[in-house]
Amino acid sequence: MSPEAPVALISGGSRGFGQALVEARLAAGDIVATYSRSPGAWVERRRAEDPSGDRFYWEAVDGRDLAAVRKFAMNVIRRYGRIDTLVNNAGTGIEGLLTMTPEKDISAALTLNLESAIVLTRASLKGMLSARRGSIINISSVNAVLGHNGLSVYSATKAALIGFTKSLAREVGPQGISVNAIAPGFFDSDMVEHLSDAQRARIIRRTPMRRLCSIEDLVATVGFLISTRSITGQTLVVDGGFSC
Amino acid sequence: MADHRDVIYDTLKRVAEDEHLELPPLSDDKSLVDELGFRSLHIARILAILEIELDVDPFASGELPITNVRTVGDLCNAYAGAG
Repeated sequence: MSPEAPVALISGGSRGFGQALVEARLAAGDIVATYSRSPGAWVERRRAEDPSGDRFYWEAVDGRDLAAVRKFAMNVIRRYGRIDTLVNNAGTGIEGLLTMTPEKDISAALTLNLESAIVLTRASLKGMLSARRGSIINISSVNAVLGHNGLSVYSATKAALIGFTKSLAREVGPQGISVNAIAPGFFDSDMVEHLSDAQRARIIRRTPMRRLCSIEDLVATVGFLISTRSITGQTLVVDGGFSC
Repeated sequence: MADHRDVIYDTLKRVAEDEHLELPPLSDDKSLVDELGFRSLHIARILAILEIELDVDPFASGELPITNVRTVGDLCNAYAGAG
């Protein structure tokens, strides 16, 4: 491990897009810290390959437990001395007509998709402010900018992340810290597995680039935002033009 | 809590140097903003460094408002009381 290797904290990195982000940052030479409620086979394999946690660190954390989220970030700062990159990826889907959505489900979605990300950012910023550098990337959604039946609560949490991104970018930019968001549209993953072939074809027909984005497209966009110091407070919509 | 005071004084000097602030001689009665010239984001950075160095954030619970901290001595007392 290089002592100068950048440290990336990625929430929810045990599967899907989060796992792909972790793999990409490891491949780029970063030290990666991530958490999820349970490890899964992929995390277990990674931990077995790196038992001392030199380059990969995982803890079991439920994102709704805000004290545990804060503690995780501080553990990473103490263990590796800094956090260079934070990707607020962990989140939950919530779908249903608003009047038929239980209030406890609304509260859980707000906590996991929004409050948990804010608390994780607040704690991670301690390391970034100390070092006067850092990059924060919030994973929003195209639903933050486009209306969609049954997604009002989900959209609210993801739109809030964009507001959070813009204001925080102004706040911490003078200390060398960038804050951006990406807003993925439909992308080829288990998220769209439930769609029928006809639904999938309709989405592709309405997409100017005539294809669903891939996880690799999203990972590349995050990599680009990490690589640049000239973009902050922005949201990149990664949807093949679906929303334009 | 002499150790705390040393860490706090060193941190104030470090942040001032990074921000190109010319500090007068430090003492407990000096005002962080009016006399030392720190701005709110500088103070946020000072608190971040102190939390990492001292492993405590006396302002996390909200019971001790950061707005009560006006002088270097107030800052030292906050950490001395939090350990």
